[in-house]
Amino acid sequence: MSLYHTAQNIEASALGQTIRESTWLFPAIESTHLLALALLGGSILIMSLSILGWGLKTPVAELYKSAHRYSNAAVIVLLITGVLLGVSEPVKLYGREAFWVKMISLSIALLMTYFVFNPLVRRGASGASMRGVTVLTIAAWLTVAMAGRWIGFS
Amino acid sequence: MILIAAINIAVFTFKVERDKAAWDLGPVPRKSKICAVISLSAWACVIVFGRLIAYNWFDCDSITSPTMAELTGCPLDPG
Repeated sequence: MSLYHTAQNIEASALGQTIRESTWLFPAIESTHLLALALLGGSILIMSLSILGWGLKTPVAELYKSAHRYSNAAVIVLLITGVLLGVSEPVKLYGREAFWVKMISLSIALLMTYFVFNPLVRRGASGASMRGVTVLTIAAWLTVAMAGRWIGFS
Repeated sequence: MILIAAINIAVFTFKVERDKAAWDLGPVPRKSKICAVISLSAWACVIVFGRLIAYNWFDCDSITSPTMAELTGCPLDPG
């Protein structure tokens, strides 16, 4: 079965239909997605500002102790609401370049965050390479957000 | 909501945080917690309502109650 057929099947599913046909379900899930997005952005930003030395004096390892709970929770909510949004219109998404850009950048952002950024922060890494990793991680998440917004315009 | 957030942070800046040096010594004052709750709620509403602007809640097609028809000036679909 091709990927396109899979998309058609998901679109025809009960869950997809329910979300698509409801007046308020899609907007409600989308709003939750955006609130979690703000939480993720905020928690990563506050750690990044500390690493880059822009205004925050608190050591990043200290910030990480509290901030990583928020970023983890935000990622979980984002993934759940994101899947629900996708399930309601997979055929449309299949044809949108922005969607695939978002999925690829999302994979990169998740790998960067959980396998590079977080472990380095836990170890209290600093210096030019840590700043580089920080800039790349933020860039990856910004690409995800912008590609996501672009799905709506394309 | 943006106005509420702005007033809230003005009150916080000029009234509430004056004695913030003492906050580390004891429990955080209640008035500062109230400001924090107002701030978080107001900005969450800014995000949610901002997103909801994009939807046509008042499309005549989706109006089914007589009250809403009256308010929006839409003809009520008899079917």
